[in-house]
Amino acid sequence: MSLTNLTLTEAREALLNKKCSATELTRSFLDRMDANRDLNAYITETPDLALKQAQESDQRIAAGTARPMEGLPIGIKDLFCTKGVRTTAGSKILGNFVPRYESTVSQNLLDAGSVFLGKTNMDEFAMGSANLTSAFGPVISPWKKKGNPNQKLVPGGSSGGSAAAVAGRLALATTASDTGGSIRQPAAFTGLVGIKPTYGLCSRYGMVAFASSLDQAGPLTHTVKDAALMLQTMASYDKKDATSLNVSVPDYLASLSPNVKGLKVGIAKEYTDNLDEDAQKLLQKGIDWLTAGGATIHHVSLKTTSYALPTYYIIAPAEASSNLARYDGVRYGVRVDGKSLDELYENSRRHGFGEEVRRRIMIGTYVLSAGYYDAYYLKAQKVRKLITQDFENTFRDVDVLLTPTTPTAAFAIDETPTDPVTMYLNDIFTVTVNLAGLPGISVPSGLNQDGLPLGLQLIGPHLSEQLLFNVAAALEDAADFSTQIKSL
Amino acid sequence: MSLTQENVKKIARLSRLKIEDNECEKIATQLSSIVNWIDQLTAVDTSGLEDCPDGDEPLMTEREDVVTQDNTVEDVLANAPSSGHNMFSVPKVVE
Repeated sequence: MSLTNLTLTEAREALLNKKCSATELTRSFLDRMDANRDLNAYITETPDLALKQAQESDQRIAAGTARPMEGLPIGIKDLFCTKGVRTTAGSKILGNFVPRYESTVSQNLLDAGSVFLGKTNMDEFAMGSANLTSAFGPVISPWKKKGNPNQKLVPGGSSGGSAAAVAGRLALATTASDTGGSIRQPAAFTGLVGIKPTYGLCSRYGMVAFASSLDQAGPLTHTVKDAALMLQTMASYDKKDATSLNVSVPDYLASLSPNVKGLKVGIAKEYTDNLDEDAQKLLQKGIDWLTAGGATIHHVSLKTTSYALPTYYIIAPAEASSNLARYDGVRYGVRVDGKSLDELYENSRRHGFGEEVRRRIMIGTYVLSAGYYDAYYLKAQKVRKLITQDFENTFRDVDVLLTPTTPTAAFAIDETPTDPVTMYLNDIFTVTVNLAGLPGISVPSGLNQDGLPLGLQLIGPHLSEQLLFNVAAALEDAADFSTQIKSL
Repeated sequence: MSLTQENVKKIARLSRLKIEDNECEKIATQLSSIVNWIDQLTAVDTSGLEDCPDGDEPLMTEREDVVTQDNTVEDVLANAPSSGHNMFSVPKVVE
């Protein structure tokens, strides 16, 4: 069996049992990255760094001082600042930015012994659902429609490079980030597990900011076990992030137990009305699997659901317009000179930002501007509160909610909607938890008629990550997705 | 509501984004379609909520007010497109 076909936790076993070395494992991934450049999954590859780290890991394994992720080759989404390694956030404006410091999430992974293969491609500043807005070109999904192998499919976004890297076996796992669905939607599109944890569980220090009250880091992996190992390594209380939660991070992996007996599972009307046939069938399978395991199903209603997307498209652009004000052509990033300082700003930002980013900056500026602030921004903050309350009330009656992750399977690059609002609808089932700060996980659960993966999402109350992992593991066992793939 | 080309020019100016005259119409159409879509929030009853709805959330922890790093001027300037004498350089702003 090829080393790149191992899962993260399998590779960990293999290394600790001396079945292979970290250097061999790393070389296998570097070779596959070389052979699959057409996917465009990485913006920057760091083979020399990876081999050096792998060598150190081999010494530690030999000395019996292996750390929790010793020698495991992973990819880092290109919005986590990595000291001395270019970090672009998928934008031309940061095309030559080399951070002088390390993000807390990537530092935690380094401290645990991981090997960094490179920085993965993404939508520009994480704004997108198809990885088509990257200044470094689109990412191609390793998945193909049955009977149409030449059509190029999107991996989802904004963590499209992270998803394609894991699905294409160009990394054992990757870091990602989720502001409105950017971990879970690509996970669903590429047959992976993706978790967006509770807001504040992972530090945002050193993560290039999009919408600070919504942004949260999480992993993309092949299995629930892998996701548990990655998340417990990434998460930490961090004084450098004022919104970081001062809680201890449990050993999710050690406590993983796929037992759903007595679990109360909510099915929300607003997430199931007008579902397309594939999503409807998949949800029914999920219900059947969980009830077979002893869970009970409860029909609930979250009446504010339809307001979540418009609320998000006020709050996220508002925060983005403020966060992205720092790109001024003076302190870092691209500079295009002008006659005055204002002209320098306007020229640099016009040249450095892509169309979608400019659009969102303008929407954000508009909803925050004098005369419109109350009608849009303040109103959206209030609706956000209602959405949060809706979840709080629902979680008095049920333990978790089960929904499809996305309305449909992955689309082709040439089928991508050109109208911004149609594109935004991709996040309809994922955006709600970001607004409420709740954790959500996507589990690969089935294939549609075209042989493309579909995901089920579980949503839980604040800090219910262990419960989500446990229920996700039960779905994973029942769906037996890895066997489904083999039949393709 | 629909945005006029004048609105778009003003927003672009506030955003410090250069736009060309011949782009204004397309941008106005796109921004209007987004604004019309987010306008649906006006129908939501939020009368029971205060203007500062996050007021009852737990406060963020403040760090102690102590110096946490040394003089990092070299790091700060490392990515500057143009600098000199330990400062960022910009076009002349005073006559």
